[in-house]
Amino acid sequence: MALLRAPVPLGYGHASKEAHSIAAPLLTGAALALAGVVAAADKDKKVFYWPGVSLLMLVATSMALLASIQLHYYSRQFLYSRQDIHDWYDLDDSPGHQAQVVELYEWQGDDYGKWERSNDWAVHCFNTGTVLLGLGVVTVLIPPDGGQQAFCRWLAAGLVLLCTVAEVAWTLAIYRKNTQLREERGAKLTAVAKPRENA
Amino acid sequence: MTSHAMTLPGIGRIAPPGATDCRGLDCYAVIGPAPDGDTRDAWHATFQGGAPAMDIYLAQYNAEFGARHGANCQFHDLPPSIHVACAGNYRALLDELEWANQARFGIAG
Repeated sequence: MALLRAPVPLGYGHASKEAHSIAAPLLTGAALALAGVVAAADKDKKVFYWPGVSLLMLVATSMALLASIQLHYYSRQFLYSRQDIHDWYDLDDSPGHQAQVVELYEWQGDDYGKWERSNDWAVHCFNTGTVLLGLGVVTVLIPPDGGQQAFCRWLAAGLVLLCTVAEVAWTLAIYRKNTQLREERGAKLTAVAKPRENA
Repeated sequence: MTSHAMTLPGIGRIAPPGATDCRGLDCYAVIGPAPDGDTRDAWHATFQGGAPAMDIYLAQYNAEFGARHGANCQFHDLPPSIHVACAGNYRALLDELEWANQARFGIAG
């Protein structure tokens, strides 16, 4: 039956949880700490080329990552498996429980849709946040006019910018890859299902 | 997949944009996005013409997606717009099937 719905690949839910509940808070903390450094910099000694732009980028990073955490927490309540249903409800295969099982399976599929939509918004926020963080770090690294070790700072800024561009390309690629995988595996599973007499 | 492996390369979306999973028996097809012209109202309007009008509509808009459904899928004769509109509401999909069957056969689904 496809009353129940499941992520493709099946481990996506766990992976997503780690990104939004472990990586996102850490990156939020890093962005806010760096914003604090930029904000507290001595105005007389020009340390950063664009302190205002850097602050804007880093604060925007924090907001995007916080949004991803919040959306993830909201969405996570809607992701559960068939096993969870049977763990929480005292149901067996008897005809007396059949209607309840079908009802609970319908809800699982409907709730999965809510998780899918909210989690994808969390994903967009997380990816936006990491890209903004990269750009924020680039603006922090760009040396001010007459700054010390300008060459190394330019080199570091270029490296971070390169990685940020690579991340954007990679993210756009896996957006397509994940949805294609869902279509391919769905088609294969459907194709191997044998016809039922009472269908 | 570990968390650090996802932190730098980003994380992929899970929902195909504008599409949804079919909820039919043994059917795991991804249906949608609905083609231009295929809307819930347009589908409902064909009910007045009965089975011939519905078949013409399905031939026009469901030809690509109809073949994706499983052999046991009860929703294979619903156009993609209905699948997409009923995403996240299985009961609404059942209601649509019942209305379509009533229009086609004059019976409840």
